[in-house]
Amino acid sequence: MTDPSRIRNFSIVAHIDHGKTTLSDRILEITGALTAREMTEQVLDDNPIEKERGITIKARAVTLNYKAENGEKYVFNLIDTPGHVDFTYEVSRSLAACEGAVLVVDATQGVEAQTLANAYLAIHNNLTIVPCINKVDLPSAVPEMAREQIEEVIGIPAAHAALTSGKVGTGVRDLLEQIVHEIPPPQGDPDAPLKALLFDSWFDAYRGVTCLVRVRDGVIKKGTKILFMGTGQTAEVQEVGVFNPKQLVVPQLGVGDVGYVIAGIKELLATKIGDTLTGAERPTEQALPGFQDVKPMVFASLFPTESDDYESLRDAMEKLKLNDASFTFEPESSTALGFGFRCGYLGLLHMEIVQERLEREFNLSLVTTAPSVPYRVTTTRGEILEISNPVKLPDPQYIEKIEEPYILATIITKDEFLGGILALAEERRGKQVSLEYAGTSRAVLKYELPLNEVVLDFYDKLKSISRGYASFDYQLLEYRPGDLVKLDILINGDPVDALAFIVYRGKSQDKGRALVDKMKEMIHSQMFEVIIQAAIGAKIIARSTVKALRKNVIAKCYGGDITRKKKLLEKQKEGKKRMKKVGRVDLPQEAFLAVLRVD
Amino acid sequence: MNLPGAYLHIPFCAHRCTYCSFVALTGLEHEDRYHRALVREIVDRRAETDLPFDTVYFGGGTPSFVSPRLLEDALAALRGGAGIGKDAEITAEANPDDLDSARVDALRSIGVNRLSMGVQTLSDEELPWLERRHDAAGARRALAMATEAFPRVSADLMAGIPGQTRGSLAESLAGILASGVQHLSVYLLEIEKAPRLVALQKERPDLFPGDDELASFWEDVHRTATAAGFVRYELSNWALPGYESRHNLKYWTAQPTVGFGVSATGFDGRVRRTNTGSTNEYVKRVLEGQSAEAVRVELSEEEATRESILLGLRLHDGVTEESFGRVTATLSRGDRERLEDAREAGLLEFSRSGRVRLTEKGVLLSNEVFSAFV
Repeated sequence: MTDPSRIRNFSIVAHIDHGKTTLSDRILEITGALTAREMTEQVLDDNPIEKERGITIKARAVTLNYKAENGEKYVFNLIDTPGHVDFTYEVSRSLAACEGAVLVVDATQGVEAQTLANAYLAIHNNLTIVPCINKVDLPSAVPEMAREQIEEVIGIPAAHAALTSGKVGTGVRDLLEQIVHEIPPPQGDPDAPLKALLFDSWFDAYRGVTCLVRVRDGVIKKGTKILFMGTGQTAEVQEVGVFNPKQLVVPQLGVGDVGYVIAGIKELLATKIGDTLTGAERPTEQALPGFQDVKPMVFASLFPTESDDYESLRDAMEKLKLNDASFTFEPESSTALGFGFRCGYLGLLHMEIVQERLEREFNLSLVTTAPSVPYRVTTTRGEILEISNPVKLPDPQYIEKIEEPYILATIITKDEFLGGILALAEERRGKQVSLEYAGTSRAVLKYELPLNEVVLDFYDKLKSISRGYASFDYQLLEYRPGDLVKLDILINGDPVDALAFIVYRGKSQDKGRALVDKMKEMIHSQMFEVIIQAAIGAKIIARSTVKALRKNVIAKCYGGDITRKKKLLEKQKEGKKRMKKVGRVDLPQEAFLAVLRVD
Repeated sequence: MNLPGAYLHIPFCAHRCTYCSFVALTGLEHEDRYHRALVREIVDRRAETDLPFDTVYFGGGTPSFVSPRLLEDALAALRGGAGIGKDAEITAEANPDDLDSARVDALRSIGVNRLSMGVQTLSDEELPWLERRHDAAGARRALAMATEAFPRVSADLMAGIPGQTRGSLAESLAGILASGVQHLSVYLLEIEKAPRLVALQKERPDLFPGDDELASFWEDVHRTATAAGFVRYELSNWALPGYESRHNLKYWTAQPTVGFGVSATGFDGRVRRTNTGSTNEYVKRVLEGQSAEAVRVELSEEEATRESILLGLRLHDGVTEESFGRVTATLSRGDRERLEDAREAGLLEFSRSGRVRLTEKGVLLSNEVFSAFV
């Protein structure tokens, strides 16, 4: 237990690729937590897919010792935060465990949408913000521009912002000094009942669930009987400790401390992020504010291309879920695709990551359906249904109204791309909230958008319109009524449930037309003619035809050729295996996502 | 009794054609050493069969390009072992421009009784793409000479040549049939292994007949050949009754064959053995008294029966319903469904006489059926 006045708890927040991880590593190196040799790997990201994409998904906390220039020793708890819009809630809980946040801004890029979103989250959590202008070693760095933007766009003083380079190490000591002097020490009552914020947890087969906590009041140690106030779970603490960054057992965690708690819990679901830990025997009266049960906002189905893989897929998803409580799935039976699962994700990136891990780590070949959002449907009988699968939408005559989730999107862009982005947002049924300029050529744009228009490739379109420059962040608003219809896709006359989706009525005609044309390109000629139709209710609104294949023949086959010919046949067959057979038609995996590929 | 067939590979050509994927050397520099090695291999492997060869097939390369002595000595070596049957079919592949009356006489006198002529096309616009040495007139003369001198002559016709049309193909076919050949093999030009043609296709895709057009080519050939009395006894081979290639039939009915020479393959019903594909290595190994075998694949019983269906379906008569049923019962559910679809699509027919065969449409889509068996 450290004297709280010597503790500094902080996060580092930044837009993606602004150098947060490199800077964190450098801080670890300077505080002696890691040697230069150990630095070759970026320590805080320990998932290969995260590493590949440069994104940190799981928060981690490290405890560091820092000897300041005034000769005093300090304990730093550096809490890493996930770096993507889908994980806003997790970020906000990590921030809630801190007194301060280092706001990293890339000196070559300036303030981006996530910089802004994270800064607001930090301000909202009453954190002291320590701005820091990073990547100053790059020739294209313009620290003045970054400084101006921090002051103008975010509205915090930045005159004394540290100029750092995580890569070469300049300015990092200045930053550490600012952390000591500007971020307030934690406050709390050591004698009050235990009150600790749970801000991360994960599961491993040997120890069960490990919780990362920040103690507000009281102490927690081995033997403490604890209560999770949100879930009602009770447990007895087996071990407490810190990561420095290696796991280190300590006797107890007290006011201001950040560390881990292991209490023999086997279910990740019992340890929800944002929950309050308290003593089971002497509980605190008031839980910490801000706890939410996060709900998935993006849904898509997963089917194994080979129906024999169903069990393996379920096993794989269960394993994955052990460490990702926000991922949900339930069995689904599709007439077209057989048995699979309807999966819920926090957002699009979360979806991509989960699917990629299933395919890569568990070696599964999957068919993914187009993402959907949860709709709220009021039936004519007055029931309110939550529909996250278009297949389950009641027939139109039973629908009183449909409501859909809206988001507030923040887009930051160079003004030269503004025209294209405004057109995109309008086309996606967006309603402009504000448009402001920051500096001479940057526009900060806020739009209210239906989430259903965003989950279908909005982000990709935004990137391509702005040649990769525009940045994007969002927060959920509320449900609003929408004029929506279900669009069915029929293959050879039969509706394929997995291809159905919900679309704004005003766009249904164009979308249906574009979709059947796109699918025609994607579906190869086969033994039978393939007729693709789009329909709303009983009305066919578009149709196209893939002509039957006329020739698939290896003309000659003699002695030495047989082996080679068989290989060719095997290759053809492998290609077919990656497709999903619907009736007599082989549909390539991408056909189920064709709706993402149409304009 | 299943008498074996012998395949002998002659890897020499005057020029390498654009589309060729066989083992072949340009020129005759290594002919002598190869001559010695081939004869030596035949002698060394005499013990492999005690049954006389029923067919002998000189393939290449260009067997008509080398000295007839090479072929003669090889035949003599074969005779010195279990022997060559009295009525054996002895085929040599021949290039139209190698054939003059002296060559024809020589081939006939050493015992060759069937010629397989690499005509490909009789269009002077199409020949340059293939880098064949002959022109159309020369090919017609060679065909006439061949049919005059040999009791059995086959001609190769190629479909899919850049610039080929239904009209030009019909003209080539008419010329070939008029020459009096009794056997016709039709090939599809495969451009994948010919960089020059791949490049051409990128630049001038319009020159290449599309799949639909190729399907029409195939149907045209079948109609014309049938009208001339030919029967399609195998997927890409037509013959007047009694003039089928006995040697190639051995491949399609899984009868034993022995392969001699570089890259040659033999099969005894279960084991498929292939010699090294390097002529240099082949000669070296054989002359040092070693085996030239490079690949040996033993088929499991299941693989062997599946292969027998796959190959049997290439034949006009197909396979018995009984054997078809027995093998399909061992396939995965997906493959069985595919075969069911193929039957519904009219690719397979089950005859009253208890046989399963490809229909006209099924021939063109045969891979859809065959892939169930690999």
